[in-house]
Amino acid sequence: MDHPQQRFTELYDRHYRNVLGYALLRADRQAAEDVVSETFLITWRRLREVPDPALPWLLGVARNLLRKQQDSGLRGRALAARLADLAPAPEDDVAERVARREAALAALAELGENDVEALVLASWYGLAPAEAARVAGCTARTFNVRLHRARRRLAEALDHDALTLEERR
Amino acid sequence: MTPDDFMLGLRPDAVTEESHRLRRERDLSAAFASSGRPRSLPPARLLKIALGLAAAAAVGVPYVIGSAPAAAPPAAARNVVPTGHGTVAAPVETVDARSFLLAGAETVARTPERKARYWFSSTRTFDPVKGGGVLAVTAEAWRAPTGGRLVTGKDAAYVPARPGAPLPEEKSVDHGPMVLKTAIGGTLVSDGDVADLPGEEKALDAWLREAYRGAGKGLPAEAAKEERARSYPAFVLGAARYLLDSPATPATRAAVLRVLAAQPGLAMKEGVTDPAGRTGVEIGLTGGDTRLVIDRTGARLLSFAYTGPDRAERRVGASVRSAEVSGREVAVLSSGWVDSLGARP
Repeated sequence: MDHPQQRFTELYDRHYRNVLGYALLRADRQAAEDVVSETFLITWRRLREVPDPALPWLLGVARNLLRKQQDSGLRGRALAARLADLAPAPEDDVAERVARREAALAALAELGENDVEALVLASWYGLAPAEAARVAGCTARTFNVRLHRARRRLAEALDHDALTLEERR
Repeated sequence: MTPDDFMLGLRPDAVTEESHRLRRERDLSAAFASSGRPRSLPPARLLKIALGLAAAAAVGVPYVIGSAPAAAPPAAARNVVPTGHGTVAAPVETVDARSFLLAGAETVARTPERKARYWFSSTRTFDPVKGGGVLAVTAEAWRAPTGGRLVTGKDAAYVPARPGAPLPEEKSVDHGPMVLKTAIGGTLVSDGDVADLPGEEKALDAWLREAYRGAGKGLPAEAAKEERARSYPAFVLGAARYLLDSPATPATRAAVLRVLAAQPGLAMKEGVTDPAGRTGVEIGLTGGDTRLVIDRTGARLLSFAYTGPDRAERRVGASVRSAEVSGREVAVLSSGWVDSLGARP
């Protein structure tokens, strides 16, 4: 890619959805979209500073903007509840899956927001620990601790729910 | 189900997909139109770009102001096959400079006005070097009001070759998006402005006289002051150097030739070979330091040459007053409208 506009457009098309998904965890849709627009404006102005891979850098910019927001429209709302809102279960879903989902969301709600963020960064974007740690503003070691803890608790909730369902049969 | 699988199921793909579709055009337009531009260009580099474009685009006045995105360069030294504005016309049966220029204006005026997204220009600059020969460097520019591209330092080469001699620029540089403004006298002209210049001789002459008298600010003011010390015909010749290879309309370019034709003291020489090896007609002013070589139809600028004193480059902020090099020749290898960056006519 040899031209900034072309490079920028490709970055936008490739990563807009990812950056917005991340912003939606901490802001309502309107505010999140505005944050993403601002993120890409900054990206345009600093295009030659954008590393490859770009996604951790973009998420880091979005994260900083979100932290500066005075009114995200979501104050006090837990990340887990936000996740549930963003991806509602199908209305005709079977009871077993609904129950499992509720249990897992309840487990997420018990986690700290940093732990949930670690899960999101790893599962949604497949970021390596070092990359995800840069986004989260912590060390890779701290990130790994958060991720391990979150995965374990979520796994327990999913397993427990599965066992409970088995016992009911 | 693993924790990661569960989390993946929560990713709001439907929302983000819809948002991308709804916001894409607006976000891209906002970025490209923003006053902020890629800050990739530190001041010195930006100035260098401006200088490159000045040389490339044959800026008839002493400097250009770089303010956002731009373009650049060239080919093998003195053997290039030029392309033009698509003008096909018979060579003029030359009588004198005035008749030649007026005939060229008629041809240019008949050229269908075409407009695409970018005005492309490829120029090769030939600077004399100590010991004889020249250093040739090409620049390519894609210019648009909302930002274009400038590539400088292409195909740098000594002619004749100097094995082992270091080149000022070892490789070409693609300068990020930028918009260039060129000072004509005391008036700054952007690539958008130049398309709006008058297409009628009297109106353009009035505009040029205003620019000739204009004060401007900063470096433009300094240069305008020096321009005023030169004659108006010399000023017009310098402006023509820029305007004849610019995104100006055919009507404006025709008007440029007519205004130039009206100047006293024109000198003409036929059968001149420009540095790209093309034969044309040389137009200058008696005793002047700038000469244009125009193709034999009178419609297309092939090259220009400067033989006045050297003048060092001056920089203030994002403005550059480009150097003048005695003996420099700049050949317009090709120019015209193209639809996309990287495309050539």
